[in-house]
Amino acid sequence: MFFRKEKDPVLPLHPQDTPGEGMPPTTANVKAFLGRSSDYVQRDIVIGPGRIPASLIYFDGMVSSQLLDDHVMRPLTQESTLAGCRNPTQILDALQDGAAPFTEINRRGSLADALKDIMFGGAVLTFPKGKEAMTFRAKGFQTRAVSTSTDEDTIKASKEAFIESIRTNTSLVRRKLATPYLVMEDMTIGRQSQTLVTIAHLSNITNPRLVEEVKARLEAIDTDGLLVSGFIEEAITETAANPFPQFMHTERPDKFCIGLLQGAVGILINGLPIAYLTPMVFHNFFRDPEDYAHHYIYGTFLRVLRYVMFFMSLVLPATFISITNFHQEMVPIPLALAIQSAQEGVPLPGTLEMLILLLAGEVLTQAGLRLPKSIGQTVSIIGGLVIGEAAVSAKFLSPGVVVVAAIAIICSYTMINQDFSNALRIWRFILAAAACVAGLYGMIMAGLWMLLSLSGLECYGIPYLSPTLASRPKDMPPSAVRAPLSDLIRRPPWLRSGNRRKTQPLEENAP
Amino acid sequence: MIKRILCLLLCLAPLTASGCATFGRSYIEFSQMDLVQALGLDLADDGSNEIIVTAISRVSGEAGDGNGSGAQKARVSIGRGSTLMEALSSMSSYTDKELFLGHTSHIIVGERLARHGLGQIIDFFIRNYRIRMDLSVTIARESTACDFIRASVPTSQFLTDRLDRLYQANTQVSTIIPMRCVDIFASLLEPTSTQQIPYVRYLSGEMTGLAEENPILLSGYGVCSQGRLLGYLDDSAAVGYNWLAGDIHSHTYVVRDLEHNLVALAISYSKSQVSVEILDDAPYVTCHIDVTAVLTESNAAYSLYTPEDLDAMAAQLTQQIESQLLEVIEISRQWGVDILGIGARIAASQPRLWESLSSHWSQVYPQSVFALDVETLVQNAYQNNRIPTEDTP
Repeated sequence: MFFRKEKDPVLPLHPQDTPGEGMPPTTANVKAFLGRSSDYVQRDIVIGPGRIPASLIYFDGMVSSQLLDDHVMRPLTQESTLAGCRNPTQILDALQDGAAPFTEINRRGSLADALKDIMFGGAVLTFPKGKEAMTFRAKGFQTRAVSTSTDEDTIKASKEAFIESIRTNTSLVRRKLATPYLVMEDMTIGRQSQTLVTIAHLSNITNPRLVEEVKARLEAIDTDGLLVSGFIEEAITETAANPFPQFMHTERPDKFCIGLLQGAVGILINGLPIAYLTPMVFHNFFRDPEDYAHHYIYGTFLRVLRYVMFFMSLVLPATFISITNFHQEMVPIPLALAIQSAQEGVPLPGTLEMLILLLAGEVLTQAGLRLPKSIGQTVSIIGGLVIGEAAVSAKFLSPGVVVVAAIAIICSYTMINQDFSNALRIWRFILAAAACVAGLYGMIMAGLWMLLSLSGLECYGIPYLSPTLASRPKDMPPSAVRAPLSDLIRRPPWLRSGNRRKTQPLEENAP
Repeated sequence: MIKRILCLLLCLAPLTASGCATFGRSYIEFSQMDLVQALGLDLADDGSNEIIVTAISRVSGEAGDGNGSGAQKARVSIGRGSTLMEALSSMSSYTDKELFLGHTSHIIVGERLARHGLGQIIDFFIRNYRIRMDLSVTIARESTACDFIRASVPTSQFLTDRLDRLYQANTQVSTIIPMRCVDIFASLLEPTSTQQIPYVRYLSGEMTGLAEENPILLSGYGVCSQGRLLGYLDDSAAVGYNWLAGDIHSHTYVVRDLEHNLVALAISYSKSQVSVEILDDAPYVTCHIDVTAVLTESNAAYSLYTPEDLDAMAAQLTQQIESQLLEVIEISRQWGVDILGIGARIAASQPRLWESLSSHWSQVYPQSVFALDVETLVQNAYQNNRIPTEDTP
């Protein structure tokens, strides 16, 4: 009997498909779908002298009790204008005409809409035999207050950061871009999670074809739940095989707004304290909006520094492996002697040492991220300093390798975007592995592979290395230069904005 | 897909056409290498004409001290063979590490081998792709390179450091200009050219006290013709050679003022111009040297020199420079070799004429007539022109 095969129970279809179409939002129908949950609340009342039975249904914790009591229950039970109502339709008409002092009310003729409203923190007034229901958006669940950014610290920029509530996030954006051209379009993604996603763009700047393409890609997402950002990232990424990101995530509203002003499309997701900007090309990841908060010479210096750090982080370990194991004649003699002296007595080959250290760096980074902040710092100190020092003292590792690996790892942390930094670290491993096999030749081949891969990459039809490989010289501004603000009169050409000049008013593009 | 495969094949193709094809074998750790910094080359004196190679490398100190030059322990290895390659191979069999010549910066050639001929060894160094072509060649005067290297081991300063320092000091005062391996090779291609290779020797007598720790001195050139050592240009002749070669950028001369006080003059500007004409089938060589010297030191009680004083100093300076020039010209005539590169100058300026002269240049060159024209100017750079009095402290 224990091994008897039992037929799998037949489960209801996806809520997107079943509850709704053609079914009236009666009390019984709503209860049939939601009534099994422990947080399901159904307050049965009678309205008016005709004692018309009705029910107020909502999920406990999702609505504000005070709002419901003051603005829904009291009018329903005490409002004189409802005294003359003889049937549910008249009650709904009276409520819609203002019998209940509530702004966000919706009259629903479909069970699906009524259920959706309840899921998003509404309360629904149903009748046993009514064909319609009235929903009140009395959201009362707790959300985190707007706080400072944890991952993107700033010195001379706004400290505000996005939170998990999408409406708070849209308000943060709208407060910074008080223009009627700012368009926010909602869509729901996730069969079960029904996650609200908002696409933001400036209608007078962003290329409309780009907006349509982003919408089409998001609509194509078919998943049960959009609870992590990976689905969005993969959907808006052109070539998933290349680790370099084609979008930029940020938790800073100011950075998000700057992206919109450039002509990019923004994506906000309910439940995630980050927003996305797409399309992004290679050089975008070296430009921090805070560069514009400094003097342009210093801003340029910072950008050039980022390019140098990128290059160093990418090639330093591979170069070290190459010249210390294959091309020793390239090392100046004092350095050669220092390396030789440091390697004396170390049992592991230099190549293996380097790969182990790079891997250890990743492990420490992950450990620091996953653990609470205070413990994470302790792990970094113990891992980086104590174990590193002990390994060198015990001659498990040579100090030269430790120094080079540490420089490469630290350089990668100077990147302004974590996804870009991750891609950089993957390519660093590939280059180092190629150098282990064939020295500088291998490193150069792997580098060429990376370059070819980047050259062939396109993001929404925009070459990823734009504007470096722009066909017209005027579309090829020097990416490493942060020009003075007086010279910043054009938007990035690769975004193909219909409004390329920043300083030119366009009345004809009014929405 | 076909494009990708073609790209991959294109990337891999150079592997078959370059030294990188041996990457599997060329992998070696630094700790397994013996970084040879100087090579001594000698000819065996037992009549076998075999080459003796002495390699000196630095033995690093404590691992992890990060200071390659910390402990100055040196490792000396010796090999012997009928060729240089064979000698190096025999040396490898006695050491637990792989000899690596990529960091060799100095070649020291024993006098016996230098007199026998340098062509063979220079050819080896030029052909070997791992050896630097700019390594400097030095002759060990009246000694073997092996003895010279061995004698340097007990001293606190490593041999190559000492040689580098000596070269740097001598180049600063334009006494000795280093000769690189590639320069010797280029010079060997021209049959009438000579090679002026710096020599080192041990200090002797009272001079030893000046550098007790490492009593070696770099003081002149060994002159080689066709790669064979003929003789030496000592201190003043070496400077004379440098004047004619246009390599004097700074040098110090001592003269006397009208009161017979010693005065030091430093060369601040110089320009040498050597032109050659063929008159009556004999080369007529004009050496024009323009010199400006600055008065840097005087042991006179005062420093206010009149123009007459300065002219007198300039005359002495001219005399000293001419004397150095004449010395090297005289040696050149005595040996019958074109030390001054007159033939090369004719070849560069009058190639057709050189074609007719090159075959019997050894007979033509001794008939050369030299005209020296040295113009000197002495400047008094002293700032205080006040004549000291008895009250002056």
